Amino acid sequence: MNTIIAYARKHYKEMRRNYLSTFAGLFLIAFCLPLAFRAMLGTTSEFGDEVLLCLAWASVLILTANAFREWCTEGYDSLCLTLPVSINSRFLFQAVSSLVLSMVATQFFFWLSYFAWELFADFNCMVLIGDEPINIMYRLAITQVAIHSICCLCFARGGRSRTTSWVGLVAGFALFFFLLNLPEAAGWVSDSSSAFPNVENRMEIVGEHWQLSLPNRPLGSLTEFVQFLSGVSIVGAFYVSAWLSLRERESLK
Amino acid sequence: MKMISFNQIGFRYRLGSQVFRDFSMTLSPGHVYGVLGENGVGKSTLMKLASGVLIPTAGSVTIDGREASLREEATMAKIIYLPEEFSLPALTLDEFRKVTAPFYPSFSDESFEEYCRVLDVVRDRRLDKLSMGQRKRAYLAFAFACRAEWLLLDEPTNGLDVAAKEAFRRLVARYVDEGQSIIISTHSVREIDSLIDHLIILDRKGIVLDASIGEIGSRLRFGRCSAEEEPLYSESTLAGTSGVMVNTTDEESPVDIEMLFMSSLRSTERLRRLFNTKTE
Repeated sequence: MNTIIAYARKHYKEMRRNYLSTFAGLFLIAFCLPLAFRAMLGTTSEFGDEVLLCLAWASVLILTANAFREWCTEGYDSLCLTLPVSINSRFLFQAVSSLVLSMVATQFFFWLSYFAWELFADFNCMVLIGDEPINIMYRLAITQVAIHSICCLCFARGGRSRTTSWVGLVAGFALFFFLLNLPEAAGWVSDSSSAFPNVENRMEIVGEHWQLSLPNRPLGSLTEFVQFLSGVSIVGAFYVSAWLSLRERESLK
Repeated sequence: MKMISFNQIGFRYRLGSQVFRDFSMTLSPGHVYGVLGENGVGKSTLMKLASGVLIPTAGSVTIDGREASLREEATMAKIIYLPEEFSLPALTLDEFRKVTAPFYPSFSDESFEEYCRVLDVVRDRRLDKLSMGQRKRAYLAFAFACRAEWLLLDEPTNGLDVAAKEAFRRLVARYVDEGQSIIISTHSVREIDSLIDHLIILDRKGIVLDASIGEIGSRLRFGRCSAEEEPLYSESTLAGTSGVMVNTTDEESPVDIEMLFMSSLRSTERLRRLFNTKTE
């Protein structure tokens, strides 16, 4: 246990700049960009929506590339690999840490976008385009979180097997697409154009996301049940492959 | 028993040729091993296999009987590996020490302070902002202070200036006095010739020579020679011809590692036969 604590301490000390830049990026995407572009490009401009969306995606890509670089550097760093920490301890730490961080990042993202949304409403200077921004935010957050998790679990410290890393990567992307379509699959929305039905219960829905809870209703159909089951399988496969990649390593040189 | 064993290992990089095939070797504690060889013979690969960073495709590498590739906590605490090139986190050396030293139970703060002084380490700047030479000094000070049983150094003197190389030599001599072992992989033979007490020369077929300096000195003679003596290697100097010959007397001559290395390139098979070294 002491080793895991020491490992966590070392990890967060070394990674703090990366986390700060990630959260600063999230802040930019979730709060500043919507505000700035709405103000600059007007309220009803479709062009503005497109630019906002493109820039937000670009920022996500930059953030992801940053996270990827950091994690890969660490994963292939001999000094880090030879640190006296067992593979199982590393995996346990990474799994828990990535889940917690993902949840915190998602929640941070949602709250910021919610407040950005509220600011638009209060100032009454923007015409909101339905529920689309929150929908976009959700998908961007999920993208960041999923790819960060992939980097963390499949390429991070000790994960050096090409085969299992690729399996992990594919499983990770499958997870990403599953999460991307979760609002529809879970019945929160009827189609992808409006992720949340109305403004009033948005806070409630944000809360639901944070707790990662399923909606308070039975899984209505066989299709939903199959979707749920496949989601659980994908998550399972994701973690198993990550574990394998930590166990079975070989050179990628 | 305390040792690092390479047991009939095979290794190849996925996109490269076979580096080791049926390779066996044992390293015992209390020595300074020098691993020499041309570029590409697998010196760095050997270090990575010993430290569990790479996994052999056949056979096993064990540290005190435990497989290195499992990278168990107890096994990893016994070794410190310094790669030829490496990056360090965005921390100062003192911050780095605070978060990394707890993993090494024998880490000595006093020794660390002393090594930093000897190696003239920059301590007030972030490690990631230092030059490779400064980074190497800093990590060497940390690595020596960990007092691990095995110190694996891959081209440790690359990037160090003359003063730092001298300081490094002093630290190595002291480290072994304290009972630890060092394995140095290098092609800068001159810089370590006074340090090592056991030499391993590799070529693409495997081990050319694996012997202590004493054994080499008793089997080979280094110095003035003539063509009739059939030297393994000779070179013309201002003072005449010098070379490496088979020692037919009981007298030991000081080992010239650079000349021996040249012999291993020119008379590989003769050297192998002389030291009964098995090819892969």
